[in-house]
Parts: sequence; structure tokens; C-alpha cells
Amino acid sequence: MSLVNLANTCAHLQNCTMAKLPLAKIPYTRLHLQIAVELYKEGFIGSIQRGSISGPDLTPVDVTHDNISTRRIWLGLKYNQNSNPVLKNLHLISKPSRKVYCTIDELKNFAIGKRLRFIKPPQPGEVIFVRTKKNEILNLHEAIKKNLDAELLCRVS
Amino acid sequence: MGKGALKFGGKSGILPVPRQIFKKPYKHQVYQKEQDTGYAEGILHPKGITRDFVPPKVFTPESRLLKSAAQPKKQFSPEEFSKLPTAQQYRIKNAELRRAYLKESYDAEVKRLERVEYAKQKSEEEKAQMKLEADNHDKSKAELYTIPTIESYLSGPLIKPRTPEQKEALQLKKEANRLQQELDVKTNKAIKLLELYNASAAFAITESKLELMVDAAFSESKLIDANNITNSSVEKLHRLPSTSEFDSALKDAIVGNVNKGPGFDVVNDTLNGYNGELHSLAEQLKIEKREKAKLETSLKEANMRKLHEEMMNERKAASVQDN
Repeated sequence: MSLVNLANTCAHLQNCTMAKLPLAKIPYTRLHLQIAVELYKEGFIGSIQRGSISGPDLTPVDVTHDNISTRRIWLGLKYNQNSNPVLKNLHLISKPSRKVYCTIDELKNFAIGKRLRFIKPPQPGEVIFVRTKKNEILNLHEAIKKNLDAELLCRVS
Repeated sequence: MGKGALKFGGKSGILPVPRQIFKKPYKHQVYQKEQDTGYAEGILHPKGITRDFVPPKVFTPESRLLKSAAQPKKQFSPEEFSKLPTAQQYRIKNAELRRAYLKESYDAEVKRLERVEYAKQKSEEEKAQMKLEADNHDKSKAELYTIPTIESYLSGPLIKPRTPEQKEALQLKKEANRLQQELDVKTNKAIKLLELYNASAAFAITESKLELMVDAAFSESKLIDANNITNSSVEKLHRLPSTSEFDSALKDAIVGNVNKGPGFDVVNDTLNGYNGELHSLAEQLKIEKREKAKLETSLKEANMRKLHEEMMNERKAASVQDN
């Protein structure tokens, strides 16, 4: 299963947390790094490290065209005291076959708890990530603060 | 579909859609032609269409009133008015009221439109203000000081770009690989061509040669060889005397021949001049060896002659003593 697709990465992270793994590796791409940073900011993961397929780097290694194929991002997964995973659900909203683009007004209505087309409103404790036209990954509320139209990318809880 | 309420799904009490009082602009506006619109110079436009934008005619409320509710031509004084019949008085009063109400409604509509315009302008200003604030939105201090270093990787290119030297080296490497591959392909082609060329010496290209080859293949000696191999056991097989074919194949393998002809390496060495050098070196060594042998022979002969003379002298001396 190629983890280059975000949907597969989402499923992979869920599988890793269900298997109670301490670390999970995902491909080293801009999109994956953006998602990882957002997950870290929201507190769903404990750490982000650069590394290779064999493990996180002990000393910093430059990413070059020659070693890019072996580069990976290593995420530290979080569990609470009862060893339940902090990151339980990570699902795509916008799929390659059904993209969901929203205007700022639609985003505002969605953020206050209204149903948007076929998408259920955000639940308590759930975070929605959106992608702007500049290919930035933001939290739904950040996008509203910045007054940007966006594509609803995935929801995490 | 029926009339009346049935038109609205059997529901009564639905007000009709309000009509616009001013269908045309009620005040002058500055129209600006949008960029990249209309017809370019030299491009014809369809019939019945103006080439340039014609702004709609402006009907101010005053001009409307003049047109549809103008003041009566004759103004009655109060004395004249009191003398008029009651029906006419009523009509005049009614017309006056209608004019007044129409003017009021026009004024009210103008006020409404101005209010709408003001609201629209205000909302646009608010939107622009929000956009400005959004553009100038900065991260809070908490966000700024707690974000991980790894986010800084997103600001630049993810992969370290190659330096001009690295690019040049890579280019050279690619070029060398390409040339090596081309050379390998050409070499393999040449080897196969040479094999085919050598093998063609054994091809039956005439009828007589074909007959000869068929006879040779089914000759008595061949059959005996085949029988020997099939009838002998595995232990005895290695003790059989080697055939001339085996010997020649062994020789070919050692010398580097293919299909009883010179192989690619041999031809290549010859064309490169390596074999020529080797040959001249061998010739030179041969001459040197011959010279050396000649010298040794002459030395040996001189020694022998010397010994012979010594012996002869000794014999002579001995015979003199005996006498």
C-alpha cells in the first residue's frame, strides 16, 4: 500500500495507533510534513522527526536527490494513561473522486455546526484540516480567521 | 393550473413580487468600460449591436413626475374653485392628492435605494477591512514560540538543490553511462556478426557442398564414433580418446576463435595493432635468441678449437719426450 496517497497514510496512522506502536513512519513529502505539523500543533502526536526507512536520524542528514527515496518522517504517537490512543480517527473528507471546495461563508456556517452538503458538522474534540489555494494546510478556524476559501481535506479526532 | 390562490399551491395571502419603481437609473453614474471587453480594432461586430458601450438613459424622479404627473395647465384660484361643480372639485382634489402621493412614493423609493446603496458600500468596506485584517493576521506569541523547528522546512525547498558542480558531475556520469551502454550494444552486435561470418564458412551454399556435408555427416567413421559413445558406460566415457573435433574446439577456446574463425577479441586486437606489436616483439625476441644461439655456438666452437689445439700440443710434446 503506497503511503504517498493521503488516504492510505490516514489508514496507516489509525492502524499504528490501534496496534499501540510508539512510532510511525510516513513518506517525506510536503503534504505529509504539513499534515504532521498540524497534527503536532493540535496535540494528536508527540513528536516529529526526520529519518530514513531504518529509523529516525541520530545526526541531521541533508535531504538530497540521491537519498530522497529513503527519507521518511517519523511520528511519535500518543497514548493516554489507559493506553488508549489520542489519535483515533483520521479520515479524508475530500477524495480524489469527490473534491469538496468551500467558500469562506460555507466554511463559517460549517464551523458553527451546520451541515455542509453531505458532510456532518464538526463534532466536539474533532479537528478539521483544510487546504487553501496556496496549498497551505490549516485548521478550519485558522482558515476562517484568514478569510480564505479552502478545500476540506480531512477530519481528526 | 387555475387562477388566483391555486396558482400558489392553494395558499392565499401571498403577496406578489414587488416591482421595481425605477426600472432605469434614477441618478447619473460614472460608467467605466471594463478592461479587455468589447470588440478590438479591426474586428467587425454583429448587426444590431453597438460597438461601444451605451449607458442607459437616466430618468430622475423629477423628470418622471413632469412626464406622468405634471401640474395642471390651469390653476384655479380659491374663488374660481368654489364656483366649480362638486364632481369637478372632487376630481381636481383627487388628481392633486395622487400627484402628492406619487411624489412621496418616489421620494421614499429614492431614500430606500440610497439606503441600500449605503448598506452595500458599507458591507464592501467591511469585507475589505476583514480581508486586510486577514492578510495582516500574524501568529500569536504562543504559536510563534512553540511551533517546532520542523515547520521551517516547509518555507524552503524540501530537497537540497544540487550545486552547479554536482549537476555537471551528474551530467558527465549520465553521458558516460550512455556511451558505455552504446558501446556494449555495438560490441555485442559486432561479436554476433563475427560469429555469423565465421559460421557462414560451414554453410552449404552450393548443391555439391551440401552433398559432401550430408555424406560426411552419415559417414562410417561418424557412425562408429556415435556407437562408441552410446555403448560405453559413464566410467569408460572419460577414457575414450579425444576426437579431432574436441581438440579443435579446445584449441579455439584457448586461442579465442569462434566458429573456427578469429573471435571478436582477436580481430579487435589486430585492428588496434596490439597483435602486430606482439608479433614484432616475438620476431625481435626470435632474432635475439637466434643471435644469442649463434654467438654461443661460435664461442663453443672457439673453445673446442682451443681444447683441440691444446690436446694436439700435449700429444706433440708427449711424442717428443718419448722420442
